[in-house]
Amino acid sequence: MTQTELLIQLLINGVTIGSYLALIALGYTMVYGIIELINFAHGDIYMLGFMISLTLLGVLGVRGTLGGWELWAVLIGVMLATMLCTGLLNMTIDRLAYKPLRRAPRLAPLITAVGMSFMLENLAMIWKGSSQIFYPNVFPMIDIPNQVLGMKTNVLFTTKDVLLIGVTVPLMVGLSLFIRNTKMGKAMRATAQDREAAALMGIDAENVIRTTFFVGGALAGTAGMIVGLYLNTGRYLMGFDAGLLAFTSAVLGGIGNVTGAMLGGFFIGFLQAFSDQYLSSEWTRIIVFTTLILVLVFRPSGLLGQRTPDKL
Amino acid sequence: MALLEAVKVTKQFGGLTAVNELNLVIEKGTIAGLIGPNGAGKSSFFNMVSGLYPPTSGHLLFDGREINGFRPNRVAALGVGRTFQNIRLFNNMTALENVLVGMDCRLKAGWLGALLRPPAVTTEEARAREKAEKLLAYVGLPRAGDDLAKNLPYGLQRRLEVARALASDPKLLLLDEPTAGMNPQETADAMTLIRRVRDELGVTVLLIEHDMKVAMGLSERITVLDYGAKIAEGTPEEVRANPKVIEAYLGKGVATGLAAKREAGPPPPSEPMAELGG
Amino acid sequence: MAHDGVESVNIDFRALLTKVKASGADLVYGGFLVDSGGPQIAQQMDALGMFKAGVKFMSEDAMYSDAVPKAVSPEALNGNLYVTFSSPALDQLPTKTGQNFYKNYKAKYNGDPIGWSIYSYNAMLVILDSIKRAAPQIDAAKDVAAKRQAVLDAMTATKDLEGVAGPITFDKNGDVVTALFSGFLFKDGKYVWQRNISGDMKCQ
Repeated sequence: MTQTELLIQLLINGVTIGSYLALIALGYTMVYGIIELINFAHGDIYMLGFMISLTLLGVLGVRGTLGGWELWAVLIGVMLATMLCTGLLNMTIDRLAYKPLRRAPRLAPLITAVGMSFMLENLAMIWKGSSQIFYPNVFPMIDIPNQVLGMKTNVLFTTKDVLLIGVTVPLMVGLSLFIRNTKMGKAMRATAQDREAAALMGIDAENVIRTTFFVGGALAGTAGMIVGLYLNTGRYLMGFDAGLLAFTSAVLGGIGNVTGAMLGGFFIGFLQAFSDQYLSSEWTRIIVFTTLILVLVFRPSGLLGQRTPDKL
Repeated sequence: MALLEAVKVTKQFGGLTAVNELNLVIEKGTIAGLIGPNGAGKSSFFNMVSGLYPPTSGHLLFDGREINGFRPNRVAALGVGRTFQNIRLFNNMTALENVLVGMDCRLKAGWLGALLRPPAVTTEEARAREKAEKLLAYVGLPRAGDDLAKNLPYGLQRRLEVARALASDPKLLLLDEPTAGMNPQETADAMTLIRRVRDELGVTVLLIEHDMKVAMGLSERITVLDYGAKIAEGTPEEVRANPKVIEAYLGKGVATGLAAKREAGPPPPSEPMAELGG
Repeated sequence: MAHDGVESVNIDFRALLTKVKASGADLVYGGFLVDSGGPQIAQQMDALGMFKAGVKFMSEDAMYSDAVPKAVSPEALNGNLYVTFSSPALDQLPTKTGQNFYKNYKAKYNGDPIGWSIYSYNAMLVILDSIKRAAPQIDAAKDVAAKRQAVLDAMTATKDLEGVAGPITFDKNGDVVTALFSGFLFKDGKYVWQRNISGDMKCQ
């Protein structure tokens, strides 16, 4: 590999890691924006997106690579079903675990979220076992520069990378448009800025919270499925790891800020790719969390946050 | 006909009685004032009416319907709009978006509609936008639609709050110190606006006001609270002449001499007497 | 030669493997467990085209299972996966005990035992043998602690017990002195015994 090839490869790695981290980070930041809760169980919703979509593929009898209309029908169908499942699941978690604590001190729902995270992880372990789980290689992998463009390069950029970016980026753009333009999006922003005033203007805060959990859960579920298709592997603890990095992304970007969460996700993705390459993967997490601490010391509200948090 | 009726409404916070067995009737189509020294229970009463917290006892009737314990969004949907003593706009949203948020409970489209965008939804959105622009123009912010709320000058922020409250087509508008912090010109403009809201839009107005000139000048009926209880009620003239009111504002045995008061120390509960004379 | 580490909860090792790929390494060695990322490393090595480029993957006895071939594909791994393990090939087990174990295991579980099944079986053999040999002392012992001590003493004294892959003897530190160690290569869908390795890691 030449230095140029390596650099391009690192950028590709950074973007791909960043795009699923960003998708997960959105859920952390949105929920925090609305109810100021760091939903530690969110990473596990991502893991359950992996497990649920895997189960659905199993039910459909999908074992190997698909092609043509079958591929798209299965992908879109399973993705929508997974989004629905993880969205509803996240909503149910809020209803059962967090809603009764809405007026409690903030530590109470926080600890509940940590407990919920352990619960989901252990339920997943009982469900799917503690070993790594193999995800069927549904999406065909074609080396684009070499096989399609006829180039001779060591840079690996495949149709799977295109799938990952092609699903996550439009979802992020879609979410931004949803928050910017729709009635519910405005209600979310209003609620994030001043929940009481929003309620007094006729906005049903509980409805906004439900929707936020649903949307966040659906996005995390999609991330879980896409990572499954992309890496073909997963584990009941995958949500813990990705969740920690995604949460860091959200804080880095300014928690409560949707654009910040996306940027934070990509930032952590690049950080990981470059640190693994030029330092050592043993140091990567130290670098990531040191960056987080530095940002919190020098810009406590994150890269995009303002003094008065510009939530959502 | 009564639009808002409070029957023996009491609110206690722990051992403190903020509102004590208050009976109050606001007739449809009036501009009514609620005055009283700081801590008299005016804001507590507003908060009960708008559903922030339920009365400890008693009944609140809006448009003939009991609204005790209704959540704020439900009260707003019934037709109660309000503004705040300290402006509480959605600062990081534009003026137009603020008004649209106020319209939220009158729009039908659910989130599914927002995603799929059938024609009914786009039409409704276009209408809502048009109405919001009209409202902004009505309160005197014709060109401020795209400005972030936090970037508007103070006086305009107050107007925007009124536009936002009007967006839900309220029957009753609760104004919490609508002219607080305004200069005389802004105050005069605000008074004109409040009158127009009642006269042209037919919205009943209940206002809390510390500036006695404003309270007396706008209100057709005034209720005076002190220590959570009603101590006087009537036309501005009747209230102004009521010795209990003077006593509540300036303390027992004191009727005149604002300057002397100021030198002697802080006036008992709060308001200077000169303003009472209006 | 370079050294790196991984988080056992991580599942995405592409960034690290890109570095390995760029370094031109010939072999990736990892002391993995099946549950700590080993199969995923192999799988992502395959996805990054490293096996095609001739890079080999090597690990120890915990990876002597079908987890890796399941994660990747037998074709991609063909000739590219090495494991070390303290036993000869399963169909060449030198002892009667081992041959019986292999036959019964296959009959019962319809598949080859993985490395750790053999270790567990050996461990159980040692325990049962120790109890048997300690029987008189156990009967004579006054309390539970003495009974336990009797079993432990017998266990340390284990000598030339016939295990799955050969006789088992412990030295004074409790280490196995007669352990057989060999290298396997994954070929044609199964682990093929290559050669024995002595305790000081010199090829015999």
